[in-house]
Amino acid sequence: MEVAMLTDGVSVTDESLAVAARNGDRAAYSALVQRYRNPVFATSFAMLGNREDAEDAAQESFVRAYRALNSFDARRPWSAWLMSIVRNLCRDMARRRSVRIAQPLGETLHADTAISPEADLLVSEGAEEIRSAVAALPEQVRVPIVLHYAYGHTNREIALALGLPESTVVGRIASGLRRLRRRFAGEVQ
Amino acid sequence: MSLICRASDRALARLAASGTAEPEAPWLRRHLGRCEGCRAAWEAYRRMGEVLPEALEAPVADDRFVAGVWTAIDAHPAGHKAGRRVAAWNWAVAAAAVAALVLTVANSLGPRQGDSAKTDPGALQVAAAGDPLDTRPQSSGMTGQGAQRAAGTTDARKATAPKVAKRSEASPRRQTVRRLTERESAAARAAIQRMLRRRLANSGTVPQARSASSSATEATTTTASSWLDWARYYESQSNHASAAYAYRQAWREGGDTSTAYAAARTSEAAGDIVGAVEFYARILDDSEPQRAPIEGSSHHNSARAVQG
Repeated sequence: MEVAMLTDGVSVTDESLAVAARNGDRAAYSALVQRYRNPVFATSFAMLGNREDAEDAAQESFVRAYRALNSFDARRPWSAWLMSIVRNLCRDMARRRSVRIAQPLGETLHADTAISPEADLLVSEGAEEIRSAVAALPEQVRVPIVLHYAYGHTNREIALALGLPESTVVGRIASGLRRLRRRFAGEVQ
Repeated sequence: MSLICRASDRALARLAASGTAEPEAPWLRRHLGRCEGCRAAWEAYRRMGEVLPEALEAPVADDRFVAGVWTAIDAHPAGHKAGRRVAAWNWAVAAAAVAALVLTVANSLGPRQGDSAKTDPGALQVAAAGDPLDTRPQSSGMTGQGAQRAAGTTDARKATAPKVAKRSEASPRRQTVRRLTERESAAARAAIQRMLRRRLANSGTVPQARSASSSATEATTTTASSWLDWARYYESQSNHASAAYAYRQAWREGGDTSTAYAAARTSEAAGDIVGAVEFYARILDDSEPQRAPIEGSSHHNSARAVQG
């Protein structure tokens, strides 16, 4: 019955799964890992900037969360609790390794028709330059930009992952966009 | 850039960040219609929303991620509840190991002289089997590794070990003494004291004990008086054990029943129940024959009824 509920994946809340995992149900914790592996990995990648570190951070986050299950308050959302672990761990790792985002891995940006000279320049920039520009952004701006544009997370999801109000997330993304536009506009000038 | 252009730039960036396709605010729409720079900025923000997803990579965790998490958890299980249980269990094991070590060391040192009678009931049993009043510690009362080591040091000790085992088995005499001391001592004391009080009340005087020894010499009386002096001195100091010993010696040197009673009383106060019972019993043995019941007493009335 329990397995059926887990395979259902919808009828069981994260918090009940966490409580079951705390009581020794490994399948419940596997379900939680399965549910949150992508957001955790995405946040880790957005904060650390490379795949290897993101994998390490995501895995270590789940390990720490499992070991700290006794301190989890089931009356509070599991996602916020887990993502706080992820953020703290990534900050620690970034501080230790001085990791910055964006080693270019993608292919060249596909060009498209431009509407304005500024947009033309943006399009003509290679993906590597764009990633470098994003990597140069401050963390509090870079992380929501990556989560929003790279992973397609909504602002609400980003707010949940980062523990911020949604309006703050919008403001930070807007700030990042302005910084990027100014950078490429400066190159135009 | 004018103030309205700065406001327009912030608003357009927020609109792009929130995924709005076209600005809806009237002032912004009017401004975009007049300002070419802001119109270009709006186009740039829109274009960023199209370019960034393609430019930025978005790796995902592979399918082995869950297995990797469990591998990491199982590799270092400490910290989780189960691990804490193991940790707590380890503490219990450590405490038990320390206790076992202490006991082992204590046993290996062997019992100290004079302690076995207090700590080992077997020693008292063996002593009681020989002499009910002799509770001095016996080496045969050793147990554990100390006893085994002591028994193994010499052939003589090896030879005594089986004897000890035989003697430690229950014997009728020892059982009688032990039953008196553990189960019936309180009732026996009460019964004896009631009997003594009744006899004293009937006779008006303390029964003359050891009348057969009335021919004691003057030297013996002097010795008994000395022991009595010491006994009274020790009793005044609340040293009941020494007082009981002195009263016993005084009684053996020719003391009367009151001395025996004092010896029993102080022995009882010192916790020597065996000695107290012995002296109470001697008082009863040495007492005079029953006198006729007093006129009007219940015994007298019942005797008359029987005779009638």
